[in-house]
Amino acid sequence: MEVISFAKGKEWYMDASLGHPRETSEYCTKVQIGDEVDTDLIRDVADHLLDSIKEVDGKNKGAFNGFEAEAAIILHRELNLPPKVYSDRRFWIWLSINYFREIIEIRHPAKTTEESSNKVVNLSLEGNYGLAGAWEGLAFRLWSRAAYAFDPSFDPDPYYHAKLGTGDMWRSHIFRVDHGSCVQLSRAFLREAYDEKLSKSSAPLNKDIVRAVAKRLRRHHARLSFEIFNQAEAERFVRSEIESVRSGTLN
Amino acid sequence: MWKLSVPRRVAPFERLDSAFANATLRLGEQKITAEDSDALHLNPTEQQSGLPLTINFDATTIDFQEEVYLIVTVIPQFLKRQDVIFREVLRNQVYDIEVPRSLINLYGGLTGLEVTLTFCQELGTPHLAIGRRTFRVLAENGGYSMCPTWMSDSKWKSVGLPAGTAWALAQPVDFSLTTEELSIWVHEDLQQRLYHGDPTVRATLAKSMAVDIYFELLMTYALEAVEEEVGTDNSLGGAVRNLAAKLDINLRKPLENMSQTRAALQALVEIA
Repeated sequence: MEVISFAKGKEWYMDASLGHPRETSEYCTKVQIGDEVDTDLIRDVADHLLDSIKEVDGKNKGAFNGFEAEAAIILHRELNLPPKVYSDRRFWIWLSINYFREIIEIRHPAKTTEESSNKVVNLSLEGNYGLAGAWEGLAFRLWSRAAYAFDPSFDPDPYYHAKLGTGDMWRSHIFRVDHGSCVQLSRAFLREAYDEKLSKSSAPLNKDIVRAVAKRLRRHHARLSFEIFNQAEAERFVRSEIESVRSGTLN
Repeated sequence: MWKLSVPRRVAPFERLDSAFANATLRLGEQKITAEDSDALHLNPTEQQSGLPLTINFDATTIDFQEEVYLIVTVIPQFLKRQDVIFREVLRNQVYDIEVPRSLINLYGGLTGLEVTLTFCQELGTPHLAIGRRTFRVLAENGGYSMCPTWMSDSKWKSVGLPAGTAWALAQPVDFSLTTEELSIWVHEDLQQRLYHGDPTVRATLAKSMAVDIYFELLMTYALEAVEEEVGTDNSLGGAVRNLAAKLDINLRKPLENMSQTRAALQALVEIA
């Protein structure tokens, strides 16, 4: 058995013979939150999501987008985690290793090389267990998508925005960027880019336009205060950026 | 070669920047300022008990010649959510802005908080940020610590505009510098001033932030040029945004766009 990579704190390591991380200690015991998570419930939710992803596995890549949107809402709604638990990265690593392993292996299969038929454990795989950047773990990413989108006052569906966009869009243009914390801006971006009903920018936008607008938003954030946007201001701003990209002009 | 003199609109911000650098964050009786190099370690049970988290900011020395807004936001670490807890036009007074207990209680079990102070000018919608400083309250090694971002580990990215912006804006700038010359200038001049000679600051991080400041210098001058061109009506904010887009500068890699930036600014100078 070859230990090829350590996570922070050396509580988990990548087991090359297995092709997935293995933990060296019991998380719940270590941080004493065992009473705050219902492991039976987590098992039930994970089993349900495993069945769901098996149904879309082998179909086109876009099928995973539908799975992620559904899985995000189920995770957030059913687990009902307290802040002490959901804000602890170790919880998500523990959950990934013990309950999400098959889901992760289907969603992000390990790459193989011609030199060896063995699975190659690489950083991207490690990241999907939450062992790399905070926003790279699949389980935390999914839960965060629904948590971010959840708005009890949004009629008719508090999870409305969680259903919009692709997994890549959420990761690249919301979770990984600082201005992703500006909720009104990001929700306006989701609606304008992907919502055929509410968008006034003829959604869905193609991927190139989404990427170009996202770049402009990131640039603008260094010198503009997105945090004080209300919903209407955010929509106007995003629409103007989309229009600028489309027309190739500057408003 | 042409050089710029001190842009007229930035003069009032010199004192603002000085006050900005002295902003402090207190958790209970413990306090940290921008000059402290060591993070303070706190007992996690103390934070969970709901000690007041207060931002202190002395604006009594600021010579306001233009209206400046102060916006304070709180973001829980590892969560994409923010709350604006303060948004007012700055006056000549001392501010003690307490993070609402409801947020502390809500976030009390989290691994950390970010408290960000942003100074803005209202030049349309949204406001133009002229300075931004983020404090982080972190949980690590079994305790909590507070540290301003620029003193902490490089894993924490700088957020927005660094505190030296106002100082840098008041400096004459030579736009004809080559990339190499600019790099030297950034290293030898800006770096020392920005970090008060603190040896703990990593050079690469310092350079990165200083380059951002240089970009802001360009933008400020561009703002001047636009003002000359379009006047100071309500369209100025939009005009600034348009100009920024026209310059097509990637904030993360401004050096790569230097030649383009210089050309665009040269054209604006001729227009003005």
